[in-house]
Amino acid sequence: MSDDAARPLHRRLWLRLLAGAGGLAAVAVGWWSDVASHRRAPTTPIVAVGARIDAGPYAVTLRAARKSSRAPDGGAFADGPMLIVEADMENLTSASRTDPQIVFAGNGRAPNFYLPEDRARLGALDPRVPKRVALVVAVPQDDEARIAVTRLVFKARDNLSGAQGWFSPTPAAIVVLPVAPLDEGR
Amino acid sequence: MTPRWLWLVAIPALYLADLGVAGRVRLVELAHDSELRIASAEPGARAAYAGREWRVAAARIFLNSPPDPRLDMPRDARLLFVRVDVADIPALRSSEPGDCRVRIEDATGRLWAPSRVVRDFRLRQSLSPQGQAPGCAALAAAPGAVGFEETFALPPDAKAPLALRISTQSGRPDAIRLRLAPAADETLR
Amino acid sequence: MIGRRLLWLLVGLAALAAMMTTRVSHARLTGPIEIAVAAGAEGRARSFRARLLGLATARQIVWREGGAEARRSTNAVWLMAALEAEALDETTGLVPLWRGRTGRLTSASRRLSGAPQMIAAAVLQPGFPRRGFAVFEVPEDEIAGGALILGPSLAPTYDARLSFAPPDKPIVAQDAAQLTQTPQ
Repeated sequence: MSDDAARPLHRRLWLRLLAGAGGLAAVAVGWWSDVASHRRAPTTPIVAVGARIDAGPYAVTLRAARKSSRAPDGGAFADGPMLIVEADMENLTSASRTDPQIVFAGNGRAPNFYLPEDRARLGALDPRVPKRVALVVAVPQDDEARIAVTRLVFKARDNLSGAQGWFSPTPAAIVVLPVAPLDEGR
Repeated sequence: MTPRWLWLVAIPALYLADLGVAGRVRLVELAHDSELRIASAEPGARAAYAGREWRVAAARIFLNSPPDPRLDMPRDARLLFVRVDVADIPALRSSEPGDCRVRIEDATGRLWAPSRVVRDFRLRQSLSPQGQAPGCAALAAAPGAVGFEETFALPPDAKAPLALRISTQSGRPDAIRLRLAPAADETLR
Repeated sequence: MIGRRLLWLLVGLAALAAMMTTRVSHARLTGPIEIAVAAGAEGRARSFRARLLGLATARQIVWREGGAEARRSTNAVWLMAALEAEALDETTGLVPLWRGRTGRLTSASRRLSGAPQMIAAAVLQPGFPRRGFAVFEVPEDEIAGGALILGPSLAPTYDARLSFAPPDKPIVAQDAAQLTQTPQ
């Protein structure tokens, strides 16, 4: 302790602070987590029908929703009528993509995708070639369909392989579509 | 006393060590995708590989002239049908034949993967006297399987003697080469 | 004394930062080696050889399927690449891509998966040269200055792929391109 007394005050203070750094950090983390837990989760914005939504790899514009007993490829649904949602989608990335369903991952089971123009399943969306697509989801309880759009975030170098990719799905928007009554046929 | 800056030497050394460790993983990955050590077996002989015994039970070559509409291949090509019996070796029974790779090798070392050339179901059945068996890839899903069958389309310039080369995920970089001794070229009926 | 220590610390940090930023990513390191092929020439990758025979564009693609006519229109342009390819030493895949003027990679269109003569995700066998079409749905301004890419898979690792310069002759533009079944 005689050694201690020989040191100037600021050096001693430095040592004490250094020794207590872990404790201080723990206090700071605990305090911040308390603050964070009281913050309200950001609400997903409700976007108008026909507005273009940036969903990361895709741009999505929801157009209309209708009940139908037939899928856009002409096949009948096994479990009664389903909701067909029409949307314009464009691939904004630099390569063809086969996963447009990730944009609608917030609507329960991944929806089936169709290209009504071909009366067939949608295989892929090519860059800079927008398409009118149709997705099939369960019929909602009331006369409005709330379709959630999920956004992905671009990362130029992922941690595993250093390749570029899209990660971290977060809710981007909710579109409330009026549901047109059941159409037979088509 | 050693100079202070000498620790900087450690950085390139660690950098190279890091590349070496990462590179080793890549090399092991590559080895498990390649067939580097190949053991040969004479026609009809049994070969032990990946915890099992493999033996060619049947190898038949069919000509496609005049062109047969039941085959999906060029007219001058030949159809090769192969059946392989696979027996467990109880003492060695350890590995699953996952990712089974079967190919035909000719005298010049060219390799052909199986192709589904027989469209007609009844013709496919008539090729298998012991009852139709699925391909090698289905072995892992069927624990009690005793064999598999594959069909190949071979060009006219494929040089005899032909051999069947088999490898599995757990067996690579080892592989086996089962030499084939097919009878004279047959014509389909 | 403090100044010298600080200097060495900065040198060390700079060296680390330089190595971190110049370290080649795994994807780059194991990714495909691209081989450029001159217009009209035959290209050779590790496992296959191929030749770009010609390019044509169309507004519609038409073929017969099960007695009915199938027709595919586009809000862009159908770019048809006629090509010939053969596996060299072993069975290999063949995946065509169009790299547009802006660098975007378009896969062969899945809308034409039922059409005849398509070489999209084909299997090549040694000794069996194949001729066919790779058809892409691309905006018109992506064609000039683009290149056809042929690889053994969509994203080959430890392997080569070919990049074909378009032929010198002008691209034939059709209104409707008819695809017919041809005997092999």
